[in-house]
Amino acid sequence: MLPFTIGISQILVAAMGVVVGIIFGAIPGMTATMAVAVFLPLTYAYDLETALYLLLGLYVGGISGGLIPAILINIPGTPSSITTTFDGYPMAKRGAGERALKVGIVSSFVGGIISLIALALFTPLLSAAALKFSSVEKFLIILFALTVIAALSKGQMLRGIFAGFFGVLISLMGMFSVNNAYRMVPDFMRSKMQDGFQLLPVLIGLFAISQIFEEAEEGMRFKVEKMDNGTSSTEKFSFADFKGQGVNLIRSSLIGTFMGVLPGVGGSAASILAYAQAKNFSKHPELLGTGAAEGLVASEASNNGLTGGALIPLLSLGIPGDSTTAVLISAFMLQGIQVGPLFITQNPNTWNTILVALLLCNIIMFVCMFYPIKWISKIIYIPRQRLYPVIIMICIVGAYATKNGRIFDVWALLIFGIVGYIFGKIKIPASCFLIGFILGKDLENYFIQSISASGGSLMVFFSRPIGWFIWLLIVASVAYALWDNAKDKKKKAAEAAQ
Amino acid sequence: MIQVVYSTEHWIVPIITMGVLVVLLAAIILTEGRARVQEGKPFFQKPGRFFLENYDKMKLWGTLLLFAGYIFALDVIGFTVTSLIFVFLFNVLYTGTSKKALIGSAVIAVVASLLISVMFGIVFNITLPSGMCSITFADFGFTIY
Amino acid sequence: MKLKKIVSLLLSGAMALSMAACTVGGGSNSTAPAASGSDSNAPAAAAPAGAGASSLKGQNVRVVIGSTSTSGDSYMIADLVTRYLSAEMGFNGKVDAIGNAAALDEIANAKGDGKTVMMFHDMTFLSVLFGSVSEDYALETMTVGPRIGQNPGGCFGAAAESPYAKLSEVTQYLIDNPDKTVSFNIESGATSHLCFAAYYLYVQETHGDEVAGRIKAIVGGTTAEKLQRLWDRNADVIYGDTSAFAQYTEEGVQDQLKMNMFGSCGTVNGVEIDSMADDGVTFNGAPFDFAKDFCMYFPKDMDASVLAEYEAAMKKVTEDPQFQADMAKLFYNALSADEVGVEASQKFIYDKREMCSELIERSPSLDSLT
Repeated sequence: MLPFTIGISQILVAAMGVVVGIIFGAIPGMTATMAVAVFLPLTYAYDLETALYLLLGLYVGGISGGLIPAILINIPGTPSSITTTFDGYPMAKRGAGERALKVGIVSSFVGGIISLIALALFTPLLSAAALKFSSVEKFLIILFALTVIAALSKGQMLRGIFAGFFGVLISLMGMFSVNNAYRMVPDFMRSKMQDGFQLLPVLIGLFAISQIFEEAEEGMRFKVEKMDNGTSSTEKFSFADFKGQGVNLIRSSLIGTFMGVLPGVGGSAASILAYAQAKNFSKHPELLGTGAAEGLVASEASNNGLTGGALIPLLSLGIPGDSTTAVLISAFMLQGIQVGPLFITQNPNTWNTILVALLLCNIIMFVCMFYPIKWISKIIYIPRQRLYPVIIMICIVGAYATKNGRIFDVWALLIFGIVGYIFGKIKIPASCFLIGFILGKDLENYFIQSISASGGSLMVFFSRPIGWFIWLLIVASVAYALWDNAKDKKKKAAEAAQ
Repeated sequence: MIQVVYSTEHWIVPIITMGVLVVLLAAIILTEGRARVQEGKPFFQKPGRFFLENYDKMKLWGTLLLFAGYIFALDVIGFTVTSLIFVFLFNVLYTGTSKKALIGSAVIAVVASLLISVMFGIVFNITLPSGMCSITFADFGFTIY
Repeated sequence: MKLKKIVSLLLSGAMALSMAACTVGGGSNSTAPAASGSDSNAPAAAAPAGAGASSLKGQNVRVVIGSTSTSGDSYMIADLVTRYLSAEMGFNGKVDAIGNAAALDEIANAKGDGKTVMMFHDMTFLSVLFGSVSEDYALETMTVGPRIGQNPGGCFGAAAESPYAKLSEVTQYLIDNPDKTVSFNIESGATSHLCFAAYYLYVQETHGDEVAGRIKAIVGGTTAEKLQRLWDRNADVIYGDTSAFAQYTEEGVQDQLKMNMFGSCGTVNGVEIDSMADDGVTFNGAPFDFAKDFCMYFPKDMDASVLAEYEAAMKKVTEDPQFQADMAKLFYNALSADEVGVEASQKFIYDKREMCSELIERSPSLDSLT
């Protein structure tokens, strides 16, 4: 008798989950969370174990699928693949799309497996650690993630930081959930903007729609330089691409896993942090952002590292680690099972099944993505004039589905398409704006929670040892970015003088 | 020390953020202005050209108008028919009106909108915008939005 | 052109797989009963056309809820009821979690053909009373339909090591320790706000301002965030759902997480807990209970014959033993056919709003309690 449940039907259901998840992940505006929510009603008819195979498949597939459009058409399929575009798309543009995709997929797989090991072996340890993180530490972690803006906006740091804070401000529009009061929303828009602008329309507006406007302005003449179909030896994928990336791979996976473990720190913060660290520790930081496999590895290893991590607080404390695992709670509830501190000891079979299912889904994900990717990577050769109309339609479906069917979100998509286009014109980095937008709400939430608990004293942010450690990281990260920026300026000045 | 009052706490972070933005804006104007002065240019610079020289007016404004029209039509007409029309129009806008291009545009429009409509609206049961051209097949129990 | 080839390939693959999965895994979209050992005999997710009959047969019906979560009680009850109604009336019901203001807006602008329904709890009128949405969304602007069920599970929770395991013991603790305060983590404008206000007013009435003045409020947060506040000991008492708290009350839970729950807002079947009324809390002299009441809401110009069909179907559903069992499994109460009737339901909802309005008027400002 196996200590877990597995069978042909479970494997098939997991495979379906992974494939559908990849589709959801790859479609701009559709996410793993949405995939799990859409398929939740289907699980009524399943027993818990089969349901878990399906839902975990959707989760793993959905997180992984985002790298495809991020690399091939510069549109992040999910919020956590934003940093994938920074290096993936430049690679694809120079004809190394297939190689970039394969690097991304292998990194995703490794990230998934490392997080699975963490889940299997260190759940009690990590959940105990998560309990030590109060709102103060979470605020600091989010602040730390924000410092990536400084690293990203080299050469125009002030504008980058401005864009980041502007993103924070825009994310605060709508009703504040603590006292239910509106700010920065005109009265007649209140019913539409109770929760402000949604992340997905903003994301795909800034990245996809603005790009379409830009290329329309240029008359849609964009073409990829054809590199004899990827046969040139320098740009072909081999596992040698990972030489010297071991530390990066493991560090990024662990950052992803730990961000997953911390409840209430969003999944996209994981890849942002991992990317920033890859840049800080890189031997060639100037290459990141121009198509270096290093950045791709960091981004993809961390966002799949999230999967196992986010399950840790769910299964050991009963609180979800991210938005997708929040939906998973319903799947357990529907079967009459409560996830909480006693879950693992009371349901050893289910617990083992989760581990096996996660392993299986990661393997299926790898097989389903690594081998067919050769053909998928050809998307980049489709003429843009033919591709963009379809992308527009798909983005509209994605935006409309963001909050289960609101036309306002589609308008937001267009609005932020225009905003992104204008940003490009007046040289405000949209990626910095977006990072501010993503982190803004959490930043406010934990800031207010911290100072409410301290009676308004700001000293609370310096009162705990874990906090000091994060402060150290923040200061180091900012100092490094400043130093790097200054060095860069000097170099440019020296070049100009010659 | 920040006084946290329940009924006004929703303004604490927005006001701090706005303050930071004003400071940053001033810093940007100052540093960039100074850099220009060092290069021998005036402190304030006339904004450069917004659009590219000889930009494709038709395609840029056409994209904007079609996009807005698409959204307007969505919950009046319904997803499938609206998409069919607008994906076709976008294709025509980008590829022209030669016979070959038109055939391609029509094929893409029909196949893509039906595919997406069926995949999401029926297979995945996601709510899509419905309107007067949405058809319900009551006997089979599904709706094409 | 290639994109479409690929998409269609993926789609056909997914469809083939899903069909395979359906036959193997238990007939999710088919009429076949669950084959893989599921203990639930609930109707399948997408109810097959032809199962029931009504003027909405074969149509898509959009059920909007005022929450954006697909794991809260709003989603659970709406989804359960929608599945049973779909089978009963033969339509394809789909629950869309679009959020409070958006759902009210949807009902205000929808046609009264029964293809758009809102299923939601007391927040429908509470959000107007608390002013978080405008008067334009008051009950008078829509048609109150049949009630669908009740969640009596809202309750208070405190760390197991704390000196109180009941609301009356909290009061006693405050009386015995004049230098101590007790902080309650609640949500503004929600059921927890009202239950807290009722308790506060009760203490003020029976023990005076001094004791009541040491009851403090911490506002905001999801259940997960409130739990973490409790574990950090940043809040003394938190408000949540018995179904979420029950697991932390069991033997074997580590000390930091272990808690007691008490003062539920109604009698919860299958859970041992004193309700606020059991614990002696009164409002206007009557024992106070405040179960969350879920109800259907339709547009103002609702077609009377379709509404009657919904009423008849809901009456049938609520008497279905299988439905009652499914509700009980989630610790929710099913109603009697009489309570479900539209007229009774409307009177009930309007009366409840009256009571809430009075309670809100008398309750102290959160500014002075935080």
